[in-house]
Amino acid sequence: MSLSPSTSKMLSLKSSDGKVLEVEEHVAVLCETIKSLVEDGCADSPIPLANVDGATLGNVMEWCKKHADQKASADDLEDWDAEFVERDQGELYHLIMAANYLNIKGLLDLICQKVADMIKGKHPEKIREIFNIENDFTPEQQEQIRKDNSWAFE
Amino acid sequence: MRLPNRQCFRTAAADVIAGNDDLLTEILCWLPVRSLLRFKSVSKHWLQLISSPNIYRLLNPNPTTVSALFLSKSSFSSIPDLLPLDGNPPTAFPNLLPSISILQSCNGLLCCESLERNEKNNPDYYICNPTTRQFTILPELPSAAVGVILAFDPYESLDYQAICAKRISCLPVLYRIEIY
Repeated sequence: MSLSPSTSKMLSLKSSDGKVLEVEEHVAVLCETIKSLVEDGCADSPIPLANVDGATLGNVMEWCKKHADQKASADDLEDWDAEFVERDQGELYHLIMAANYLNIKGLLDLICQKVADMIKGKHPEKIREIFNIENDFTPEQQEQIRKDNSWAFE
Repeated sequence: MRLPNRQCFRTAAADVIAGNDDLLTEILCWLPVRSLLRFKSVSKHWLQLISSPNIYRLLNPNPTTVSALFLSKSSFSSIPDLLPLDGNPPTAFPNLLPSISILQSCNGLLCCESLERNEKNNPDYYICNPTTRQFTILPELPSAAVGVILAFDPYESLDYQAICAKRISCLPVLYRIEIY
């Protein structure tokens, strides 16, 4: 089966909130999950994507479209990606979940790297706040971890 | 009181990520080592994730890549400085050890022997991690010990083993291998 742009047909993707998005097949197959469906010949009806909402699906397909463009140079993609990840945390988390569900390694790495950049250097208390985590250490255990990794806490 | 929608949206998504070990690990493995070690104190769950060998496989998928060099100063009797190849400045090992000679380097750990003898006229043996600047002294070895080597493979386990050969008989020459 040829997946080249000139012969690419359109696929319908249906988000969890019922929005239908028409996407060129050679763009959509950047998602390994969709590629498997296409290869198995199961991609005729609108493909239901139960774990991805419409807004996030739109963002994911925007990324796929750019990365499916064979005319884009590596530098061009890097600049474009840097702008693409300038979003609030909520959107980034949704993109991580979608990239994981749709199995798009490039997008997953990009967003995870962005989130890591946002949280690096932050105090552990701030991390608990961001991810809504309870501190289940006793003060003694906490002190022991600081002691065992003292150079990282300097 | 209702939270603004955006806040709900953010919190729900953050909860899903925080509860998914695979996704959390994907994020953590992009962090610099210093942040990663600091985040061990976030919670027991994070401590367990960051202490697992899996994360080191993701951090360094190609273990044959050299990530730092040892920079030996004029004296050969101390732990060399570590010169990372990622552009960070060199780090010195804290001056807490007596004069030592390095016996072996094994996947980032050093096995060292003290130049001075202890009260039983044996050297002390140390295992040092120049990256985290941690060290430990091995339990005293039997005086018949003829040598110690270190076995450490972080891709298998974060525990190392020190293997000691000990002479148990002169004629015939017999050795016992003990693993610590």
